[in-house]
Amino acid sequence: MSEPAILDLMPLLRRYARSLARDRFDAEDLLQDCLVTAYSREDDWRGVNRKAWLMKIMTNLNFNRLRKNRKSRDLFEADQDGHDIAHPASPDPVEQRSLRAALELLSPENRAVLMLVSVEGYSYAEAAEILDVPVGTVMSRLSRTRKFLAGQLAGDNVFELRRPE
Amino acid sequence: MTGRLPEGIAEDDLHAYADGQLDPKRQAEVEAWLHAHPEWHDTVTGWQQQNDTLRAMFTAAANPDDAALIRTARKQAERHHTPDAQTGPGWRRIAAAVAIFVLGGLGGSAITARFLDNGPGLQTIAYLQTLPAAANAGYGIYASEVRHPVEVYADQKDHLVGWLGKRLGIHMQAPDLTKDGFDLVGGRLVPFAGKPGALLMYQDQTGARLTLLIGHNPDNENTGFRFSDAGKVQTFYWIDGEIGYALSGEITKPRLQNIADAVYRQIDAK
Repeated sequence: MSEPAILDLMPLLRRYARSLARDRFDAEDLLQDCLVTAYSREDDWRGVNRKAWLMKIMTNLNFNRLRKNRKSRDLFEADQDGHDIAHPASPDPVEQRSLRAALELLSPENRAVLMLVSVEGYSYAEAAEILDVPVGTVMSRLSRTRKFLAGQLAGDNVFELRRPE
Repeated sequence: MTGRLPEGIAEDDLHAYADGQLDPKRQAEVEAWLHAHPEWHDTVTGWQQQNDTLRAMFTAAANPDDAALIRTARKQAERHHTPDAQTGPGWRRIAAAVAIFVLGGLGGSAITARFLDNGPGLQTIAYLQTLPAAANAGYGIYASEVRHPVEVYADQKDHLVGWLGKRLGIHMQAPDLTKDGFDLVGGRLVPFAGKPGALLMYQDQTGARLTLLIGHNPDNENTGFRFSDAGKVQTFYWIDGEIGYALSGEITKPRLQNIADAVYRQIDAK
């Protein structure tokens, strides 16, 4: 991959990394890991859209590292929609209505769909291609995620924190 | 839930409308329908506001070090294919310096300074990524034990570090964290990444505990500090030379960060 070509993509890749990650430190780690992985797999690149390929690598790296950490999270519980309900939003009512706090409750799969469509501006078909799922899955995830966020922002969220025995 | 709504409009259409993905004719049809259905209109307006807020939160951003980051990534990927890892006193100095930058919380390009010279290759990244999960599990299982938190207690500290060091194949030290209020409780042998690992436990006056997971892999290379937040338990982790470290606890992040720094400095002082 020519370095000038990747350089042009860096601002967009960084934006996507920040939208998936917990904070900017985390985002830089994700971005760097993505670049190293991409250069290692250069031989696998089949000549299609370079940016979409990089977005796919970053998405999967993010899923993998969160999956590794998720197994040992005693307090992690997901409802059927893959939202993290055992990590409640702050009791501060202002922050409860903050979209930033609500994003942290999304599963990585739901968050990726939302960011690819809303922030990165991909069509549903393009997002489906990057995530390697059917378009119907993109639509149902998007629907559930938007409703979940709307509920969070309206402040009608009540969660019980279940402690491990 | 998606499905058919009355009058031929599907929920998918409403999302597509909010995302500007409809052709003009269909867009006009949906817009007319929304004007006639105020509740759905409010819902869709809410989605558009979510979009606007997200776009304001996450913007494209170039970094002055981007060209260097790319060069470094390319070199790291290449070195994955070559047997010679580049370590040595020069890199240790840089690692120590940038670890302090990271711990000092400087933003922007200081964060990326860690990657501006030889950095971790793919194997190391994979090893690094297993640290927080294992550390979290170790903390979760052992920190709550009242009668058997450790296998060998601190009163046999020499035996403890000798035994664990032998199993891991390293010169082991149990860092002294008394200045940060934590006393060594003891340690145990644990499996980590398919090899023997060491889990040291510390405790302060309030009974709060920390665990320090230590693993050895000869293929490792230095990394910067990373932080993992798993809800209640937080972990700082890094690789220094051939050895991975993960410090876990339920104390505040700044306090945990100070202690991670103390651990790092003590080991670096060897």
